[in-house]
Amino acid sequence: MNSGSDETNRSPSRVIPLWIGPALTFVAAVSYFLFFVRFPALRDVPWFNLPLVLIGTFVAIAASGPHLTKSSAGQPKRVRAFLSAVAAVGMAGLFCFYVFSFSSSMPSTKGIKGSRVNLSGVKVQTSNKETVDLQAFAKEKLFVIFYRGYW
Amino acid sequence: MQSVISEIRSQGADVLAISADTPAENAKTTRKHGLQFTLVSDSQQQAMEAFGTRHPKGGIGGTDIARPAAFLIDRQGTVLWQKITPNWRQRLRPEEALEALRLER
Repeated sequence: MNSGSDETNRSPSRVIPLWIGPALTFVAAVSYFLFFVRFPALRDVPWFNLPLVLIGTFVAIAASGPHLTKSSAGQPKRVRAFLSAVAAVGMAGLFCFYVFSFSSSMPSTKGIKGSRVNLSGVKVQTSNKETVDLQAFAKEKLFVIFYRGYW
Repeated sequence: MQSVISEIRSQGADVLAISADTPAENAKTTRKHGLQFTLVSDSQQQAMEAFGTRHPKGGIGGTDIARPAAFLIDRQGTVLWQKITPNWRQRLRPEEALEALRLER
């Protein structure tokens, strides 16, 4: 009977170390850019990383909350708890900002050619530093793919 | 696109990738990923101007770069198909390229 009562009285911070939340959030956010971005289905909408980032943030808050609210918690522990929660929330915020806002900051599509493009006279440089007319690449069908590059 | 390049070529098409990266960076990228299609440098920004894909000050340091966009064109430059995404995380998927070719057959 008592064991159930003990379990309820046990604060999350006693079972969840303070570093777990921020660490989970960090791994979830960073792994998106380093690994999951390679998979179009997980890149276009971060189905895996976004929930994990949110779970990490929740864990950080759940673990920190009792330290911040209990007056019996020592000052160093309270500072660590505060920093842990702030770190997780900050990382989650940055990740959400990147996913929902920053990566959508694109110019209008108004100027994009929809019918015909004049290829001749358009100069590009090959990897050998040769300047070539775009018409030289023309084929019966050619995918021209613009990408942002490794800037 | 590398994963479907053979299939694309077997249908009489090819792939040309364009960015504002330097020729040296393109050579490095080609080597690093073993790319079998051509990357070209649009350092003079003529191609992005011709296609209307310029993203003013979109690069780090405020340089102009190309927004992600894909066009399927013929020999005369007629746009047969295009994909323009509102978000730079979303790019052309290999299966979409194959579907575009199938539709234009």
